[in-house]
Amino acid sequence: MTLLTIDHLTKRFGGLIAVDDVSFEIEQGEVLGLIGPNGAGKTTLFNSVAGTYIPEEGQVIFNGAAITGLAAHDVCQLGLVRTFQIVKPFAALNVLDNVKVGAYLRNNNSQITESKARDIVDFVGLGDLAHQPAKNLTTAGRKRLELARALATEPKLMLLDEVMAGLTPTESQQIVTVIEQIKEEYHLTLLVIEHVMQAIMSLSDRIAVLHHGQLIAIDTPQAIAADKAVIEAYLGKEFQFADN
Amino acid sequence: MTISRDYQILAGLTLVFAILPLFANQFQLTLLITLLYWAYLGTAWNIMGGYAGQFSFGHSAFFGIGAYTSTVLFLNYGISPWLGMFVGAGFAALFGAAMGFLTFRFGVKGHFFALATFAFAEMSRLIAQDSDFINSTIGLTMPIIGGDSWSQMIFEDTKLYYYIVILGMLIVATMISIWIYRNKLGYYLLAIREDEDAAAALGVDTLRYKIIAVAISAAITAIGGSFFAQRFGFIDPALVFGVSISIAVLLRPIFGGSGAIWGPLVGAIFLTPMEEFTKIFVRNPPEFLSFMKGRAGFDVLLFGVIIIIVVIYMPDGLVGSIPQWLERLRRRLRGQSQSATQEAAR
Repeated sequence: MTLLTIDHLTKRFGGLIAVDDVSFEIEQGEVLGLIGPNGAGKTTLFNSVAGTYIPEEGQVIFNGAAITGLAAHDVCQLGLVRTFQIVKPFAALNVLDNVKVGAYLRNNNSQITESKARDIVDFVGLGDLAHQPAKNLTTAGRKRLELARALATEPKLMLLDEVMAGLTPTESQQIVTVIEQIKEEYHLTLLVIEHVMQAIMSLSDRIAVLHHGQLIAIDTPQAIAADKAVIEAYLGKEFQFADN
Repeated sequence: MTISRDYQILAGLTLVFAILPLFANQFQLTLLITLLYWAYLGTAWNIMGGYAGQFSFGHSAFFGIGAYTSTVLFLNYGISPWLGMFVGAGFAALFGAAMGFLTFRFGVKGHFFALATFAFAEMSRLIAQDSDFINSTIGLTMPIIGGDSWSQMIFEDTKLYYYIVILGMLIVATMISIWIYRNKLGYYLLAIREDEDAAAALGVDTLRYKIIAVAISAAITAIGGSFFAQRFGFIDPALVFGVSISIAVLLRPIFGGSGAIWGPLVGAIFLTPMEEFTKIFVRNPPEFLSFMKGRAGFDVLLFGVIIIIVVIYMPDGLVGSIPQWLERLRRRLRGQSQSATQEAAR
């Protein structure tokens, strides 16, 4: 079943076409990677899907309903949540309260919300820091918090915007593990922007490549790694899969 | 069911404030009424300015609407202020919601929002000054009834009754404030204050919740305006719609700790006596400070200095800063004892 359809989506800023007639679909349960050079329009595509920007042309259909141009909070209500590349923790609130803000979307009861948020905080590995103010977290901690808050809104589809940017290889590996667990445990569909090739290649079922706002390829990781146009535009050389 | 810690604190404070008048003379009783009155208004401001982080520099608009509504209803139609104050609260909430919609809808934020609220307050003052049916600049005066009347909320003989009324109002306002803080609404308001985009991404309808915060804050403030009219016995546009009310309302929560449940009360407990004693001091200063004698506005000057100190040294207010200071002190003491043991080990 198709969960998200992006249909001829175009987003312009004045004369600049940031997202240029992009179409693809995401299947239920799939992990779709989204890669491309800086400025390719990845985050703009996210923003146009999740309600931050209103696209000029095209349609976004999520779970059978057109969500083109809906406000961010309405999109989230329908089960599509996004994280931010530059993390946006509620700095003065502690970790648990940050996650409670997400969890309140699905019910008004404080006790239920609290226990649900508690479970998710433990799940992403922030259990020991639950009562620390979010501003005290390390970058890796903040990335986990972004995941936890998004997860608490009980989404069907999560858009992850460079969750691994700025992390050490070890921390990245740990986040990949968390994302895989999220996918298993919560049966989520994921659309993931990432520059860490190792991570995106192993995580994704398929990968879409944006270049100058256009979709230049969408295929399995193996096929993408060997794709001439992708190598030209982004990878530079053929990506070598580590031997297992 | 266990009673949460906030309500335990509230119960304790209620007890203290219930007993205090037994030991107070008339001057101290007046001081206590003033203290609770500012704590009440600060609590109202805090819901919008502290929790939701929408800094209001125009709360006098709500205050004046409350004062005028209940007074006009009372003087012209004989409606009891007990009823009139809720009508005023309703008007103020509507006015606040409209103001919130007009500003938030068009993305007015931060300093510009504060200026916009100020503009709305000034507009309402000018409209009141030019409205003959509320007696324009001359103002309205409560009748002298020669005694105490609970039904008319006028107490000419027994000040204690005003104390009881304002204490009751503060308790209710604090309960509302606690309830908001500990429930979904409060979490959403704090989230909006901390990062609006992130809140929206988590499903928070930021426009709606900001308007709700303004409306609640406005309604509570308006009832404070009605109380002022009853107690003071006279209102005019400059008095109740003036900028000095807007400033005074926000001082206590900011000093005590905006965004904290107890910030406004703590602020009022510190600032109200300070303000009163400054006034007395200026009235009759010692010889070497005789140049200050009779200079009005010294208390305002002092408040200016206090704000500067707060902004620099305790941006989280007293309630937020004291635990931080204690923690720092504790660490320093521990650090010293550690270095002492290290010295001894050598």
